[in-house]
Amino acid sequence: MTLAAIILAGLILAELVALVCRRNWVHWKLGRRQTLVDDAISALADAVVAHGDVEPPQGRVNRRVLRLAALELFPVLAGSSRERLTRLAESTGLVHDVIRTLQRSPRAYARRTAADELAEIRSAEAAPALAAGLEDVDPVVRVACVRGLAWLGDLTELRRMLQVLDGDSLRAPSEAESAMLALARAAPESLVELEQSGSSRFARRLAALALATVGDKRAMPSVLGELAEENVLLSSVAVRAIERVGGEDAVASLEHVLADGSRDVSLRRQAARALERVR
Amino acid sequence: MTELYYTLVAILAVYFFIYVAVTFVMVIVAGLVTRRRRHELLPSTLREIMRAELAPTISVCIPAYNEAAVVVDSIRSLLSLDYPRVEVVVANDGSTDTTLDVLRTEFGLEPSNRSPLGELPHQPVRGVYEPRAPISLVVVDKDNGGRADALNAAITYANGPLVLVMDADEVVSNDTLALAVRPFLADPFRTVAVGATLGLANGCRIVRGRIIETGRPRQILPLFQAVEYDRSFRVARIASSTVHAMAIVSGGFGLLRRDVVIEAGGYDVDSIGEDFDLTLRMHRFLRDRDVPYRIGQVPDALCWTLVPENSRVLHRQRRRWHRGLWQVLSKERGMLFRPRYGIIGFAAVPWAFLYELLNPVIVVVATLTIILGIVVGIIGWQLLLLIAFIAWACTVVPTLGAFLMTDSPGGTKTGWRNLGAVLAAMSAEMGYQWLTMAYRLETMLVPRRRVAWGDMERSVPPEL
Repeated sequence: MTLAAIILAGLILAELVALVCRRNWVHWKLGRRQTLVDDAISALADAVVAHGDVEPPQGRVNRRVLRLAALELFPVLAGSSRERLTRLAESTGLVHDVIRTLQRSPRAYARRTAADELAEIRSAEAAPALAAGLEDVDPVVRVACVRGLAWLGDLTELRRMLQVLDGDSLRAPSEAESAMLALARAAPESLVELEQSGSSRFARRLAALALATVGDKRAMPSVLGELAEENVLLSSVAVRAIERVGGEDAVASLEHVLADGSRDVSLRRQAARALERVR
Repeated sequence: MTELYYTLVAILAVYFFIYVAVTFVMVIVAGLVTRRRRHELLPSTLREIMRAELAPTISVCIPAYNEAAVVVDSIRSLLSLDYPRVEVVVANDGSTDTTLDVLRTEFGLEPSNRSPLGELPHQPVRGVYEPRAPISLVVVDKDNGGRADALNAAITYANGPLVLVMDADEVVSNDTLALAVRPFLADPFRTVAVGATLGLANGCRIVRGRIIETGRPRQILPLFQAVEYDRSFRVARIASSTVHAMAIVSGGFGLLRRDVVIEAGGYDVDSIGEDFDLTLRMHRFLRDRDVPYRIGQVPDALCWTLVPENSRVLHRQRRRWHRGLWQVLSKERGMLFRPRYGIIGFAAVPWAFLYELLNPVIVVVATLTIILGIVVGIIGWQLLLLIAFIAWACTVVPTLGAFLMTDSPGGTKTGWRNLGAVLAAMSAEMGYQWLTMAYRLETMLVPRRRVAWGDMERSVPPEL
């Protein structure tokens, strides 16, 4: 019992020391580093607006700060401003840094984040690294790379991208959904192929919904199958997808739901609203 | 006699050893799961969900009884969350204050002909109202029937395939809905319910239904409860969700598939522990029909709730919880050790029975056993100190481990108050746990005494 007490006392002491260390780390992250990031955001925003340049940052901390600042700016920019920020990311070496993380980091999370960041930056310089990332051992990295390539519009590895989506969508559903949406616009034929002959039910479903979102009528058979489901979560999403596709088939299927008294009342109500919009 | 004493000691030792061992395992599992989840969530994932064109509608169901002070801000805050499709359904549960009038005035409500979607038991509905403006809000005015009754009414008038049950005085973070809906997007075929992490609103600055600043509570009782909530939501629920043994989706924040809730019969209006009751009933309903399903916990989704700040309200709350636990376990005792109910019948329900319901009684027996040992000279003061230290350390190690391995809501920015939480964790065993134990024991000894919901008293009025 004495030994147990000594071990427990040691554990408590170790935990207290670790808690203090963690507190200091969080203090740095939310305090000083955030101030630096805010300054970097201002510098980048000024450069984007004034068509100016930003000095390449020196040192690991400054590079990290610039990277965080740029990634906060990308989602709120569009069009030419976004392109200018991408050029700045290239000229400051940020893209190069992120590519190096994707290629060399032993930690899966770092590679996932890097692939995600490259997708956000949308620099053509990243295409070869993203293509190589399709063979990563981590499925989330692979899907994030597919998304990056799809957003870039680089379809040279289309076959492999579809294989990844078919095999790994379940591990990264939101990323896969977004990649498929990009493919539904850029290469609809390939997505139809995945939707019809994919091996995973989940990937086929996502492909059908992506096609429906862009109004592709070829998604209708799958979406109608989903509409027949008793699971109201699936059928409700199907009604919305049918509404997006529109056309005569959509009207007929929505009318069918509306007339079917055995269906969920809210689904019929949703179908009625969708019908008004489709007509 | 001595033999009998040692047999009792052995039984108690096994009981507590199992508790400590399972707690340690749960902390490790929760730590690993939290780490993995943190690493799975990519920065752009939430943005994708927040702008998904086919995202399912979430109907937020709020029971409101005399909530005139907070209900409008709560609704506005919910309608402005970062999620593409939110509908708010408020069930005015026969409020005697101006709740309905305030809603009518603020949102320009008009009578609506919206019909109920299913049949769940609830008190008669006096009227249904919707705003003139295109705001996704429905107000169901009904006779008073209690929280479960009001939630049933709200669910039957909800339009979305997913219903979120929560209270009017709770606050959610901007990204909570996007985070909570992820399991439904990732596995729409099986996911039927998810819970979120409840943090304490007592230490936070809330303005017009929005969290402005998070932090640990300043008062001592809420600080102890913060530690308790951390252990429950950051450890126990995550671990039980990982092994598909989640016996309760908290009524404080539960995202549920509406069709399954309605088919399972909705909330039991006579139940005191209605959230525990519904979760177990959903397990029973789906397992009886051999339907594959998932009930889980989303640790990153945060909801902030008020907890009692004085012992009178805490007493009332704990009596209600323990009575509810007793009532539900008595009702669902048929699930115990039945192979059909799998890990729920073999682990979750027995655990709730042995380590939650009967725990106060067993602690009293253990204390009496130690006193008897001292009286007859079997236990000396050195051994007594050693036992006391081991008992204390066995609860402190996993609690500190939980602080260390999981993210603590609201605790990261305020260092000193975090230190307070650590001290509270280390001293809880010396007073607070005994206090709540006494409340629970009293519930078992005086079972006929009435338990009431009562109001949650606020030391600081909501900022407007």
